[in-house]
Amino acid sequence: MKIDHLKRLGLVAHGLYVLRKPPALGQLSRARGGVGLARRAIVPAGRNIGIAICLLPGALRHEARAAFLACRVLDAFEDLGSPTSERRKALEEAAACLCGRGASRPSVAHLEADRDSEQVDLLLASRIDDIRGLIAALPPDGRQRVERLIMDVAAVMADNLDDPLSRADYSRGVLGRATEYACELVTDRPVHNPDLCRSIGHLAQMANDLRDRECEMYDAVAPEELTRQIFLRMLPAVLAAFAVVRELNRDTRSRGARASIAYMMITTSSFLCHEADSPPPISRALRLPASLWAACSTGAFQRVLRRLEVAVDSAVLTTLSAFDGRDASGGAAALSLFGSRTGAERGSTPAPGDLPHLLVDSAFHLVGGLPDGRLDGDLPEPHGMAMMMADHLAFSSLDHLTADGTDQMRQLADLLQAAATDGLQLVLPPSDPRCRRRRTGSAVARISSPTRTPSN
Amino acid sequence: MVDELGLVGAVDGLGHRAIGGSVPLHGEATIGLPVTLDLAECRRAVDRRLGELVEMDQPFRSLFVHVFTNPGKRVRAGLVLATANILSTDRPFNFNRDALDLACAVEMLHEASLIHDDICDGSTLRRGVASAPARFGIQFSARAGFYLAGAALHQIASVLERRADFRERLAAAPQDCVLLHNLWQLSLGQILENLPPVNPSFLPHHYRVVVKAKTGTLFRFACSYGAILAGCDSSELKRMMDYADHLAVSFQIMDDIRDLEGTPTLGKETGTDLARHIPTWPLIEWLSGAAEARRTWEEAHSRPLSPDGVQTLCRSIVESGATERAHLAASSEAQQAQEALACFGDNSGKALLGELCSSVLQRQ
Repeated sequence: MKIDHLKRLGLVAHGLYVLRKPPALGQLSRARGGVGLARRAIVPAGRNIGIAICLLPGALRHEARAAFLACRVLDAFEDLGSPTSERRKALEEAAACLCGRGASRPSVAHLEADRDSEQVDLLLASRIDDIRGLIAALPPDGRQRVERLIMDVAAVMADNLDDPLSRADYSRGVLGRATEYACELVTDRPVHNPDLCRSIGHLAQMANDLRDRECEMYDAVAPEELTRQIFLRMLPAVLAAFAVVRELNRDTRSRGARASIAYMMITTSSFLCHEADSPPPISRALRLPASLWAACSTGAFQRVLRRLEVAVDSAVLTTLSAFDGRDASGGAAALSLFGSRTGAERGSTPAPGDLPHLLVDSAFHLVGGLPDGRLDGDLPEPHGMAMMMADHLAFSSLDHLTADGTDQMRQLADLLQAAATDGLQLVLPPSDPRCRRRRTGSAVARISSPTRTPSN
Repeated sequence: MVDELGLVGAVDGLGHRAIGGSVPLHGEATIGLPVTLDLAECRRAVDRRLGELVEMDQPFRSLFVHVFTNPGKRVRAGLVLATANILSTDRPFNFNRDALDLACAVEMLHEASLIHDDICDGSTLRRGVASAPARFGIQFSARAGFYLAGAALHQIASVLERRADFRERLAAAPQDCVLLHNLWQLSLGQILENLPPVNPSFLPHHYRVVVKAKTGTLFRFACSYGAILAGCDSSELKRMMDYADHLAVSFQIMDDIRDLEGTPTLGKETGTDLARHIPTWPLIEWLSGAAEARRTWEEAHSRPLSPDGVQTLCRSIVESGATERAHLAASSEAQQAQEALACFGDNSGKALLGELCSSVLQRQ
């Protein structure tokens, strides 16, 4: 066994040991140098993300640790200081300092921390030079990648201090950017689909809001209502997360990296299932073994992923089963977010290139399961819900439109219209004469496909 | 009827770009002469324009003709047209072609959502005739709804392409406004409506959350585009959003009342919300009145209701005076909507917005 394997094993074992414990702040503050601090702080600061980082092979682990801790430092200057004008200045100084560009150090004297996680962030902020040292020690490619991340995240945080962004925009710019970085790190190439990665950041933010019971933010008066609101809002991001991870499985050669990705997916899916009061995909004791098994091959990874998809589908159904006491579980196939295709089948076909394609594709998968016949008032329950979910996914594809982006609008309009007419000959209304001709085999319905539009 | 609406011989395509890359325009920037404006006039203008926009060569044409020849009140289109004139200093109403096209886009989105609603709700009747899924098939109608939504996007893009100033103002719009990227709230509202409140004591809150999302989203959307086109600043936009929210609640409560009382113009079965166990404002009023009512509702809630059971429940609610109390609530919301307009000077746009407040309170 290689030395790094043993080292990782030790880090993961220690990480799991301290995962549920309050952070040992005394030990952290006594940690020597950046490397010692990073090793001790990564799990208290990142919890399950910290464990996932520990699973990475040496070079990736060092870089990911430095990047993650640098982001925690930025977070400390963004959240723990006051007033806003000072926070912005400190944030900019911190970003410059972490990137080795600024001579001054932001003061931590005015930072105040209450919660355990904030105490850890404050401690990291006070040791900004050690974190900078970790970054400076990285190979040039990695250092530049981390510095780009720091500057991008700090810019969004600063914009948000000046003029609060929407929750979605903020989380896409901060957590989403960090997700994009993580994908670049494990594949060692720029991401093909940044908007899908950014959506995962939004998903992570919503999961945090669910954990923190941010009822007011979602106009909810009770935790159960918050769960509903968040589950319904996060469906597009859940689809995005699984699409990205399927692609990562194909493009990530490192087993450690695949184990790390699997671990994050398993723990996140388990959290969502728990919040929906739905069975977990994998018991707590088996999360790490399942992650390691998933790392063995792309096939094993897909099987784990499929299990997670089924569990998340079930969690969504559990939320929807509250439909007025009516049971939605009988219509699981009609309501599946991911469809009936197996993970392996989808793993072998190209994923939709961007979020609107993915959402429209998923919406029309649900539409394709609707009956062809005329409505006579007796539509089975799951079909009504399938229509609602299809609607929701399709409307969510508008979420990424900018208010003035006419090219994007045209493209999405074409996408919707093409999807609507695609395969239409199978569902022409019974009264349509083309339908009768088709039945006799004399003609096939002529369907015009949407025009592609020039850029303006 | 089809010919009257100009559906035959239409040229420029519902949603697809016309040849040459832009939607052909009709006359000068101002369509028609100043009119003594009322809702009926708005509706006629919008219906005419929608007729022109129906594309000859697309597979859903029959369905769209069916939908557009049985139009609703065109309240959302009226909101766009009125708010687009809210800063006007001229008394005459200006049927700006951009506002008219935006109004049509909003109605397309609304009609698309109604087609889908009928599938979700299993409604075979809409505006007194067979609903689209009842006449054209379920999956075909679902596809048509999405096609129509795509057409609306093309329509909005067309307006933006010819109005750079409008594009700039939209890009700087405050978060209060509902633009395309917030439209998912509409579908969220549809799903939330079908989920019972987590606790019966949260019924009024649940109702408002659902109305804000399901009805209010398109009201805000219509007012946002109209008011931004008019050039409203952020504080005026905020007032417009207040107006839209109050009007949406008033509109929905009145819709709930009509669903219970039934009217010759209802155009669908009465008690459909009750049959689907959807909490409405009159129901909330009824439940707050007597313990007996709550017991009856809990019993009704635990099983599918027969048509007779629905009608009995409708009568109980109406006879309890709950619909009258609901009407008062709707009036209060309409009044608050009117008050939100106080910052605007008197003009034809404001007058139409006021007329919309009055018109939603009509029981027929």
